[in-house]
Amino acid sequence: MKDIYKNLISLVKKNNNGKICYVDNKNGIEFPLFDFPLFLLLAIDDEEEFVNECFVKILDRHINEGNLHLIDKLKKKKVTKEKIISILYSSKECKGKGINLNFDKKVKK
Amino acid sequence: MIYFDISIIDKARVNTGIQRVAKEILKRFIVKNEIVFKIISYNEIEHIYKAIDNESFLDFLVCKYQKEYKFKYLEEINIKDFKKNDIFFDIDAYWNSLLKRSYLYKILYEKEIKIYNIVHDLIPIKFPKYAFENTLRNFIINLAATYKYSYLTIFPSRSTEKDYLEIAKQIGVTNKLNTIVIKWGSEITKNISDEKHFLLNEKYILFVGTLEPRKNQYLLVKVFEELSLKYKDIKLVLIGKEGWNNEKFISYLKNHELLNDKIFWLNNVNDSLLIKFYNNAYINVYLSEYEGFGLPIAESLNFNNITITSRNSSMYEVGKNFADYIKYNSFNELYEILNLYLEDSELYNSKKQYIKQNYKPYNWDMTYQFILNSLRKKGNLNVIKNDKLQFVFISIDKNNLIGTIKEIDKNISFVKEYIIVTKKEFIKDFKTIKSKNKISIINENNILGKYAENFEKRDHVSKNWILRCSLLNIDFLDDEFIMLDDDNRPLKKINIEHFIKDNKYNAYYFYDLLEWNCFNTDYDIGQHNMKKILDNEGYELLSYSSHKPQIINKKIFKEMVDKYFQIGLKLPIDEWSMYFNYAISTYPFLFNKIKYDTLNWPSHPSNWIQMYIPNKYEFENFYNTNFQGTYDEKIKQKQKELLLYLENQKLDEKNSFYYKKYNMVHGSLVYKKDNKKIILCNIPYFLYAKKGTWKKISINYKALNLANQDVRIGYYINENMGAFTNLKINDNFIDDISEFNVSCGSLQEEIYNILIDVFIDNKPVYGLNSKYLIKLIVEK
Repeated sequence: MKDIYKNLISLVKKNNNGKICYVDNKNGIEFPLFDFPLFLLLAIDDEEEFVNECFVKILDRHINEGNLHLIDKLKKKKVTKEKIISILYSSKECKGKGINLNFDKKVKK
Repeated sequence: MIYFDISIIDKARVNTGIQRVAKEILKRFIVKNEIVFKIISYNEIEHIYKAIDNESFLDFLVCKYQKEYKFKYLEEINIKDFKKNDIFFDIDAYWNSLLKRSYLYKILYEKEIKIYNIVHDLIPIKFPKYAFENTLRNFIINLAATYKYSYLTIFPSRSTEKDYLEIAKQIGVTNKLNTIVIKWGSEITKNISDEKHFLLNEKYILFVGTLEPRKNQYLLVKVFEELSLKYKDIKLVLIGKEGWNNEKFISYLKNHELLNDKIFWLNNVNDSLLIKFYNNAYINVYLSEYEGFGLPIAESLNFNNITITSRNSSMYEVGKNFADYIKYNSFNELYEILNLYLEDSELYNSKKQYIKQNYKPYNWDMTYQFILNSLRKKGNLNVIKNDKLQFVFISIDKNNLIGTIKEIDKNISFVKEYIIVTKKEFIKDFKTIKSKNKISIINENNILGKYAENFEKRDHVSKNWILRCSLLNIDFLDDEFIMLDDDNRPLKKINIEHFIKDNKYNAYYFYDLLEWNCFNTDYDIGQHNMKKILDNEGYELLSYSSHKPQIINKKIFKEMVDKYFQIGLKLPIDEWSMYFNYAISTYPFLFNKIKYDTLNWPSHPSNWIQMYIPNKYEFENFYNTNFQGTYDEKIKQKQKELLLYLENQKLDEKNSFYYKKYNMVHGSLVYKKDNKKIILCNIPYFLYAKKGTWKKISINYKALNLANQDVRIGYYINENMGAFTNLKINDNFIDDISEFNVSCGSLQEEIYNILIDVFIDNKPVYGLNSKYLIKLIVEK
């Protein structure tokens, strides 16, 4: 399914003059938002992708303008990945949606 | 157990088209009570499904405040509780759920639970610029899961089904996709309330739809600015909420000098007032750039409104010949068609009457019935899978038959016997035909019974219909057999999987019936008749007379014959398309729909506009005049012949952009003679054609007071007479589509002036004084 997903993204991009909004990392799409493995988020090296992925997995939406500074802060090491997750995960918005993270180191797929 | 997931209806309580469809279908499942099912909603906080009481769901449908309604929940259902062979039916806007299908479907699939999907449209994939970004993100994830895991995917239109299959090809989906088209009901209860609004007493053009770029209200406003200079009494009413990403137009509208004087925007109209606006509209316009179905078109036609809409995606499937189409979405087209209806009251009244007398919306009971069919297990029917099959011909051409049997003997190893139905006088001669397989020859009179009388007087299509239906009277006819004509020759080795694969019958189509625009032969008339009959039943509308052998299930064939035989006695219809469309709509799991693979169908690419091009050729529609040679030589020759016509079509696609952008389209060409009138629409200012071809474009024509007269479209090329296109006019008012043909066979590479004229009983209406000029650019 990951291949289909990847190819769909490419097609949408092609149909949109090469542009596309942030889309979920393919490695996480088969996991539920109610039990999403933390390690998959932490495994993302690129700071911008990490913050974007945190938003779509913890809040099921794109990052808003007011939070774009988190990317910059992460790049400058003024904030840690764990802290960003903690901020989003403890938000009222996240709790209202019923999204849960799985903190186990290894999650059975 | 069947589970219908309505989580989004439960969560969001909105009433978009998707929710309306789900509600209409589920209402019928509850009320008719013909199958066991549960309506379920996923609780995103508790992470569990809850069954909704059916009575509670019915209460919800009729309650005044649906947003506040509290469903009565019954038992809780864990995802793990679904069992093998259960059906999980995603009937709602499932891509908006937090329970992502990329996760859910995988679990269901592994437990062998069958997943049913409705794909309403593919706007986010085809036109991402029109999709809200978060919707796009979720849509992609969930559509990928649908491609991977769906057991049956349902579409409201052939157009959406085609898009889905085309995208599958583009993204490399390799698993088998089961798809079916089930049209949405669109009848509405016309309860006219006593609500009042000052605009209801005015003469107004109506546009209903969210104000968003995809709906293209901007074009209508620009056209209306011109029209309002000429028609002082006409108003424009836009009904719809402000949509996403449309600030520029909203600002333009809000600051428009005609706003609240001649242009009105109502963004909060309830359903009963909306009905009144539809009911009182002078003309309705809907210019969407893409639809999965196009309910607003059906709604408007329900009120017998003149409905002007764009010609793309599924629009024509809904509006057919009752709506008026702006093929290129150009200013001229919209201005002139509106202008015509505003200034020509005879045309206006005739079209209204035509809609009133003939338009029949699909109904929700029909939609329900087809969905119910798809949930029942193959209607207790299965593919029989005989090792050897009877090949059943009807023929009066011995030489053709000998050649075809020779090729079948050479290339097909699973022939049980040939059954040849022929005229009495040919039987003796046909008995001399030799084959390694058994041949049984049948006197057609023996199976025609009472229909043998006057049989010869019937047209070719009707003869085939009666004779093929009568095959059921052959007492040794097997439950499964191959039906074919005496000129359907295999070009290479064919194995039985060509006809039966994965426990399903292969059904080979070559055209979408709705797009068949020729009126020259009995065959053409048969296609048009069948289109109406099948459409009235809500069946799929593909043309299966692919001029190749096809496998038939006798029981299903008999069902179809029992139902439609009498109709075929009165009107020419063809047995292939009647059978397959009936069969596929009734038993969707028994069939694979496959693009045809017949060489020389059509015999020449100039016969009609090519809709599907075979990827490979396995059979040949044999004519003595066909190009002779090896398989490779024949294919090469055909491809060479086809290439120029495909290039012609590509040129049209490319030029469509310029027609719209630079407004290079004639709005309407009006021909008047006494009280007779012909109006031609959708003709561009210029056409490109490859040298040596016939240029073909589909155009709309409207005819008044010309019933049963000989009417043709013709043209003068550099002042010399060109080719003609026959129009079929059998009533006092006709609105239809025809292919318009321009012969470029003997033209050199040059630019030509083409004057378009109409000929009534062989007499030109304008002759060389016609003011309708187009440029024809013939290129190498």
